[in-house]
Amino acid sequence: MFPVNLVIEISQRIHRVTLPGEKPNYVRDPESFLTVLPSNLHDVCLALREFPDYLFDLPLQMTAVDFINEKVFELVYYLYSSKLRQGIIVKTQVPRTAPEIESVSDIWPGMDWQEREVYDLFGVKFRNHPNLKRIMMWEGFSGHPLRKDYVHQTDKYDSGLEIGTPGLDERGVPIP
Amino acid sequence: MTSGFDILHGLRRHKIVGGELFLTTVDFFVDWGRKSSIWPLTFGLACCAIEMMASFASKFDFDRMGVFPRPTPRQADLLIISGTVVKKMAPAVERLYQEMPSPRFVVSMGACSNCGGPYYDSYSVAKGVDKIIPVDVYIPGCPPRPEALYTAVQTLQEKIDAYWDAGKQILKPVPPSEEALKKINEAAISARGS
Ligand code: SF4
Repeated sequence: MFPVNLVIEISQRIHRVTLPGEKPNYVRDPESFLTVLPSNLHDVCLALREFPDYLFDLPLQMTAVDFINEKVFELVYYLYSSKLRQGIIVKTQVPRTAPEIESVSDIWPGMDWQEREVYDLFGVKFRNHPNLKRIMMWEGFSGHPLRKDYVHQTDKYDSGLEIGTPGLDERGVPIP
Repeated sequence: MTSGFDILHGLRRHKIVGGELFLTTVDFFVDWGRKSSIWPLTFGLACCAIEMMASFASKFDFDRMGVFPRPTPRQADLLIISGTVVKKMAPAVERLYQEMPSPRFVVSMGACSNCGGPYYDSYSVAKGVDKIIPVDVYIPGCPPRPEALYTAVQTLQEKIDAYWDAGKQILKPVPPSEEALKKINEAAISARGS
């Protein structure tokens, strides 16, 4: 169900574009983000696309941020309405230990590959995704490289002297 | 009647009536053909490929050296690794190299394909294309200008010369005797009907 108290908040968070041809001006301001609970995300997204005041029909992008100290992944959705010329950013947080959230690829098919990318690089699982498998990394790759605690396993294409190789300092000199 | 060496070493030129006579060895001729028609594969990997494309276009016009991109590895002599070799692409690069007929040459263009370049500490970039295939010429730069690629082609031509010179004793062309030249001249005169 769509949480009713969000309606006012949404209307405050929308970035309106008045001049034709102008792009939404996203500012790095906490007030410009709409933060929702992960359990509400799918309903909110459906409302954002369908309600005549919102009509966010264009998913610009989605990505994730790894907040390793807070032990959460923050998922960020950039939405835009091509009919009403307005934009909004939706954020939600899932725990790092069991990162799982409802897929929005049934609402915007364009989110399909974006979610696969977040799954590939961060390991966030998207429920009811039609084809959740790796998109960037090759078959047989293990791990999720954009996680901040990712440890790279040296393979045959590496020289073994990279920063972060276990047992070597950042100049590639073995640590005694 | 004069005879002398052309500026190309190993090519003897004799003036005869009605034209000129060139004498050479098969080795030299094949060698000359090889280095004057280095056909690279149409294959670009990253931003360096933009410079490579500019080299083939009209401003730098590598066609004047016989460098002319081919669409299939079966017809290519040269593989220009122009860009970042990511680990996902590396098996495909290796396979393209194996599909090229011998003799085949590899030019590694730019910092990325030499050693990983700006992405040295990345999890997904191979630390140099020489981890998978042998390389003949390395070009430094990020990206190298078309002039640098030009130098690489010249270096490769010198190397092709050196490969065959080193491999076997090249037979120097023997100048024809005065009598033989006389006969050739007579034949040329009678052929012209004068
Ligand atoms: S060497 Fe520089 S220009 Fe060439 S592919 Fe790498 S980053 Fe791009």
